Amino acid sequence: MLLDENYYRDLISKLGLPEMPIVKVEKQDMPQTTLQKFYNDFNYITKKLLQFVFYNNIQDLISADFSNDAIMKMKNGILPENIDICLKKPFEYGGELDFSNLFLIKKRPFKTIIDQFIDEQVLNFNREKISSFSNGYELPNVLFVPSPKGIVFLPALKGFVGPGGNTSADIMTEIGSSMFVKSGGF
Amino acid sequence: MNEFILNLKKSFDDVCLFPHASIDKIDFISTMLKNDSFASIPNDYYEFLIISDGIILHSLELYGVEKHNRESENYHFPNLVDANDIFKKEKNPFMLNMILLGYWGLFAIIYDNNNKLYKLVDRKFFKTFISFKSLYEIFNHILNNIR
Repeated sequence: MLLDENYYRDLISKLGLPEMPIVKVEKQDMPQTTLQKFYNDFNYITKKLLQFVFYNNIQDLISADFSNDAIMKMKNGILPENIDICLKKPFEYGGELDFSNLFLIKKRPFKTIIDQFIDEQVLNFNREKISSFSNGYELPNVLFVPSPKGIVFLPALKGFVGPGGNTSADIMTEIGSSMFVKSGGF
Repeated sequence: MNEFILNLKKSFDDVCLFPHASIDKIDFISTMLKNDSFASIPNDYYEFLIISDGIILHSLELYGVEKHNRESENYHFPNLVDANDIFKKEKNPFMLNMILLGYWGLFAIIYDNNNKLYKLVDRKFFKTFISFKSLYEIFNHILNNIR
């Protein structure tokens, strides 16, 4: 079933990230060796990215509510707890392993929402034929992926990073995000 | 395993280890996973949980049998049952007799009981990148890359 951009924009809103811009990307033929190299080099590049962001985007880190301890770890190229580095465009969809294709995001609750958003699309594509696979999913021809403007994802309402579930913190995040969208967003 | 964990603490002073899991709880969760068509907890992972019920080290997360409240970061670190929930719902055939143990960067870490292998698979599509015969081997591979 082909679903359009509006469906996926609604989906990411319902999952709790209405302020996250999304773009459509198409599956590319990529040599397995290149893909393997990207995956192998990812850890090294992320260390460099963390240091780059520390020296060039520290205000964004503060705005994203990263703790002082987390920010100081980044200076040494260490990924702090509950922070993740996310690909904007997956390698299999033409994404390169460079800073412009990466962004920093709090893992919980935000990165887990993005994971759920991508998982949903992959499962939608595979649901009918899943029983015939033995090594992972078939890649959809088209994916909608997150595309935040900056190198650090800034949630619409900072300071409410709940543990997940039906907590007051999550409700506040949702309200904040809705307010942000109603006011015109980006 | 004890010695390995001691060395890990020496090498990484910011490693987050958890209180050890009880044998009763590990057995309970292992049986629960097996009843849902996942693999039961492999022996060397079982030994690891007896020392530390999970681990957080930079981008590496391995889950244990308890959920842990990470108050300083305001979230709950999931347990193995929560982490595997998505596969249970989808009755995913390539996760039969396997178990998701955690994540490391772009990779998910799974144990494949059909082939008795630990595997790094890509997080989005679950294609296998590299396999290891033991928890010790996969730990070493990851730690060498984290250093």
